[in-house]
Amino acid sequence: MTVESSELFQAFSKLKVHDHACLIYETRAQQYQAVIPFLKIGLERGEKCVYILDEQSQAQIQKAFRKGGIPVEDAIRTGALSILSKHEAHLRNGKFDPDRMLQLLQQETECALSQGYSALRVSGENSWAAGHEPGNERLLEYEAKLNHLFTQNKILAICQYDRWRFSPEIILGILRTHPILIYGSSVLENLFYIPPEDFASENQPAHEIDQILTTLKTLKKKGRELARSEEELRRKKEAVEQEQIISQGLKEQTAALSKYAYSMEYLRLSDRSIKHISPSCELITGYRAEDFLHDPDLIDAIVHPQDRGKIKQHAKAAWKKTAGAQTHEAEYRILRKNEEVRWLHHHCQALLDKQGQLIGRYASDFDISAYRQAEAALQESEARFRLLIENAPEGIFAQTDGKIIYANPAAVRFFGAKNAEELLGQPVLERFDPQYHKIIQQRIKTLTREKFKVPTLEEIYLKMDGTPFDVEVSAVPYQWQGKDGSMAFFRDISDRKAAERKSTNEAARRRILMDQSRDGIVILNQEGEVYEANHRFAQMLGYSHEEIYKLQLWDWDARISKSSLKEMIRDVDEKGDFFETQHRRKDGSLIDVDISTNAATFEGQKLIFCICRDISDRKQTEAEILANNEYLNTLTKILQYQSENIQDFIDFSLEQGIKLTGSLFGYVYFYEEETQQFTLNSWIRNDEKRCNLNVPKAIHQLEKAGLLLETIRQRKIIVMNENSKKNCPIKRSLTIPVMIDKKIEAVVGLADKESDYSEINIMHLSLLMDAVQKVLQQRETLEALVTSEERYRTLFDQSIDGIYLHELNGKILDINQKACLQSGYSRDELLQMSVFDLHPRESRVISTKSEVLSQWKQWRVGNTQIFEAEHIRKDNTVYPIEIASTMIQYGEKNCILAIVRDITDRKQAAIALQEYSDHLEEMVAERTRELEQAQQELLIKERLATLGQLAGSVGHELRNPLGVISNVIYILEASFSPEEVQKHEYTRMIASQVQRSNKIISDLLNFAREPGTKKTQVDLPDLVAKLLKQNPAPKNVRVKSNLKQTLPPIFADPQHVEQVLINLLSNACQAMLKGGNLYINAQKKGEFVHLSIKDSGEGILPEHLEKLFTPLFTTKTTGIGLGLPISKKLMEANGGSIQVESQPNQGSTFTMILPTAEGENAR
Amino acid sequence: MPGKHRLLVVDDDPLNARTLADIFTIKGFEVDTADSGPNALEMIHNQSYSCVLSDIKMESMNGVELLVAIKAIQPGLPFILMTAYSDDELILQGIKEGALITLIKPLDIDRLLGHIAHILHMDVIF
Repeated sequence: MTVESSELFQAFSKLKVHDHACLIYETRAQQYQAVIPFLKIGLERGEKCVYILDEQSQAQIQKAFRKGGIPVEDAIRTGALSILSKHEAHLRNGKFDPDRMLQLLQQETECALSQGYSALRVSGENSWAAGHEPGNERLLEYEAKLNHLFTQNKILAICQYDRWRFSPEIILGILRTHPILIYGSSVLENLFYIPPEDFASENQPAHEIDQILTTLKTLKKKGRELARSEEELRRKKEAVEQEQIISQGLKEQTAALSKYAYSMEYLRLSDRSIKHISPSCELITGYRAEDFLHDPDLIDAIVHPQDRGKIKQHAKAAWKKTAGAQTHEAEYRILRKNEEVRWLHHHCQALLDKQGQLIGRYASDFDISAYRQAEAALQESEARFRLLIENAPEGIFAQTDGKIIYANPAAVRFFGAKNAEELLGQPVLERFDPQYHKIIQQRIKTLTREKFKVPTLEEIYLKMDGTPFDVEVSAVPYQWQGKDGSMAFFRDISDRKAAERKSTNEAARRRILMDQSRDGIVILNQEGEVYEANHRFAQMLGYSHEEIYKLQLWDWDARISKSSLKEMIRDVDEKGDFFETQHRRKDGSLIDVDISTNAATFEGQKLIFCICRDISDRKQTEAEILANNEYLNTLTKILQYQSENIQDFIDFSLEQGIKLTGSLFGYVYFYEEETQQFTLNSWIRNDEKRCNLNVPKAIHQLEKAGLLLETIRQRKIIVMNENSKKNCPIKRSLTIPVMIDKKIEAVVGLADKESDYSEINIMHLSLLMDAVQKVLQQRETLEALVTSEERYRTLFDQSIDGIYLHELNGKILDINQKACLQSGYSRDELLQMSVFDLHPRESRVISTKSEVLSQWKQWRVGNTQIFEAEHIRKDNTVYPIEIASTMIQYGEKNCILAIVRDITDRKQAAIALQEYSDHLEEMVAERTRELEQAQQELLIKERLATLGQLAGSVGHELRNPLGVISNVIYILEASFSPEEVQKHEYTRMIASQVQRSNKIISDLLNFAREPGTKKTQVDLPDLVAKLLKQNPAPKNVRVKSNLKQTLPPIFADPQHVEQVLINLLSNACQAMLKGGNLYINAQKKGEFVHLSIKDSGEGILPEHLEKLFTPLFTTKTTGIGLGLPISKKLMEANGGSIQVESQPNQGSTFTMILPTAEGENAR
Repeated sequence: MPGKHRLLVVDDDPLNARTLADIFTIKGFEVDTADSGPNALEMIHNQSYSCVLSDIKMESMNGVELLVAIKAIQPGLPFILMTAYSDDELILQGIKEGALITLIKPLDIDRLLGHIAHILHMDVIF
């Protein structure tokens, strides 16, 4: 399809139902060009299409349609398209009858609509009308009438007319009768159309005149409108283009100028208005962008009055139309909003449209105030600067490309040149000592390429004659005539260097002196910190040389307090001081030192110089000499010591030993090898205040003796200088065994010397003890008799047993005090008696007196016999004894020593034991019975628990039917009239039985359930009163509650107490069916309250009494015997119990025993 | 006064539900019964009730679950729980969830009626 036809297609798609169009065509192509799209659109829209043929055949037209894209066959088959011949339409019955034709069209339309088409679309060839067909004179009439038909029906049509077939008059008529005209490729509103009411009427000419005039007017108006809109379009196009140019310009400008922080950009159009201005204008001018946009003249107004002429000139040039695209620059001052003056560099460029016409200029004003100021300042300072450099004492020179380009007079002088010119142009490296060339090249690179300042460096320069000299150089990057270079500032430091070298040497020498010193040397600052120290000093203190520097004086001085040391540091001066002290080494050990110290001020700081000499060896020697002297003195003292007894001598010796060794305390234990027992002999403290030891008098077991044990075991001196055992009060000790004839007799110990026990101490003490032993041995023989008598007497009298010394005939020779106490006789009485007098006559002794006597006669010294017997006291009481008899030699003759022990206690214990063992069997039997019973009970309990669980679940299930029954009873009761007494009675019976069943269920449930208690303080009188009110007793029972308000509250679960009370009260009432008295009493007993409920009923049979609390035991016809077991269980769960007392026919008393709240708190 | 009130009895034991409903009818209440929690919820959705009485032990949804569900929709609707199990933990839970009264079967009808009269007189619960 061609473009034109497609345009036509679009135009045709605008044709609507009711449109009546005519097609004036000149060729067949024109005809098809209109008709085919018309029908195609109709088919697409679901309209019924009818085509009326004239000259062409059916086949021809179908072919043409098919070619034009109309699905001819399908459309015809479905009925959407009908192609009729003129004889089937206009010329039906051989004659054209407009009215009939109109009628036909109307019918066709209705038919189409009824078939579901949305309208009828018709196109017909009317060439027949140009011929001689009868009735064709009515063609125009017909066409006019069609307009009416079309307005009223859903129909549209194109009537086709071959222009050259008809006379112009007819064509004119055709034109007048169709509101729409299709001509060429246009669908036009027909301005020459005449409505059917006017057509062919009298008004037609007048109307036509009107129409022509109106049309002319319309045409003119349309023409003007067209011109206007064309103009509008052009303007818009231009504006768009200009806008594009502007925005492109802005874009470029923004991109170009965005790098300047201190610039403002704006666009000024030819009319001087400001189109855009960057917000940075506020920074520069103090005015905001809006200010400039509202008042474009502001940009001129802010120009400094003195620069306005300049700017005017600039503007003249810049705004010249012929200025073209060139740029303009200017520098000018502005007055900021705050009157401050700023220098701006103005740069502007023309913005041109396509024709090269100036639209505006975009400008960027760069704030160069800072430069201007710097420039001014620079100019001012340049002179000063030059003066400075020229006169600087430092050498200054500059280089570019490695050649000297400037040297100040000082540099000239330092380099030993005649004048500056001699240096200029010379390679800079020639002035450096070769060892620095590499460094210098690197530095020059840093300066020229990276433009970094290089740090100050000591270098060696060469004079013009090659003499080296020390310099200190710093250099900065420098640009001269566009070339990167550097400027160096140097100072001759030859003198300083020389001095430094000298002092370095001296320092090294001093260091050697210091380090080689045999004495420790330490230099302290005022804070007592190590400023310097030699290795020897560190070595003396056992630290590494590095560690020493972390220390302060008081970290190592062990004798002088920190405050004193601080004072010493403050006070020491050049004259110095000399003293002795002790230093503490890293390992904690102490060394004696001599200190020689003096102070000096160095760099404004006071330093203290100390020489420390280790004098430990000297000290030790001194101490040893002193100790030996002391020892000799002590020894002399001991040997010369005059005392009456050994104890005194031992004490004295011990005391001397303590003093000699400087110990805190000492002791002497005697040792008996046979019994392995230690007995304290002496115990002396040197310092009462410090020592709080409790020394045991006797240590019976060797294993417990510790140190003593070691001494015995090793049979040598034991020194303990570091006690690692905790809780042992003794820190250091020295223990020495004292041996006589290779047998250890005693152990002497000294303890808690201030310092460790030394070899000297050991030596001295062992020698001392040796001397003591010897003295003792001599003395012992002398004093033995005296002391042994005394000792014997003491032992004899203090024995816990009675001791009898008697002759072989039984006569008592001696007795001890205990014997008197035992027997009840006095000493004198006993000395008159025989041992046989002490035996009761009816004694159960094994042997008779004569037997004993003859036995004794056969005894030898040392023979012993131990036996049990009985003694009779003076008061005739008999007591059991155990006698140990031994034959001893007493003076000339043999005697018997009898040790008599009262064994009453032992005997009684034995009897008790016997009794116990006799009972044991019985007890076992009893216990077994108890166990069996408990097991039985347990079994029952278990069985009951299972039963209870079963009963519980059954009970629950029963409650639902009971619920239904009780509901029904309620309904029945409501349905009976009050007169139906018997019915009421029956329902009440059911109700009471339901209640009873429920009670059984509740009991079962209660019994099956483990009671969880919620204990609280319960006031019993209140609770009982409440219960009696809620559950009144039968009328024939008199209740006498005698509960005092003073009764203390109990601690229990109130619900449980309530349940038990209700149960007991109800039991009591049931026991008194014939009436009686119910007493309620309570009293506090200890930590419990006893609440008793007493009835005057029938009582309980004794055989029933013990089964009362057994589950399921009952004497009643109602109830299942769970009430009391539950009560018991609840009371026990609350820490109480329940008791019962009863006599047949005398009533029963049930007592609830519950803990008081007070008692509970106490517990 | 009772004539205005409509009660809902929920119990999976049909006899229990029916007899209880009959009693309420005699007493002049409008009564509906439901045999399960879900059914009860549906009924509450379609009809407004003055009070709900529900059994605890029921299949699919127990009384306490029903209570919780109802409280979520109608927090103010009075709720009474009934059960045959006096030591059920669900009772405690029911009280915690806002059941006004829990009653043990067989019910003490006079007491129940007293409670209901009291509840309905209170008008607004919580």
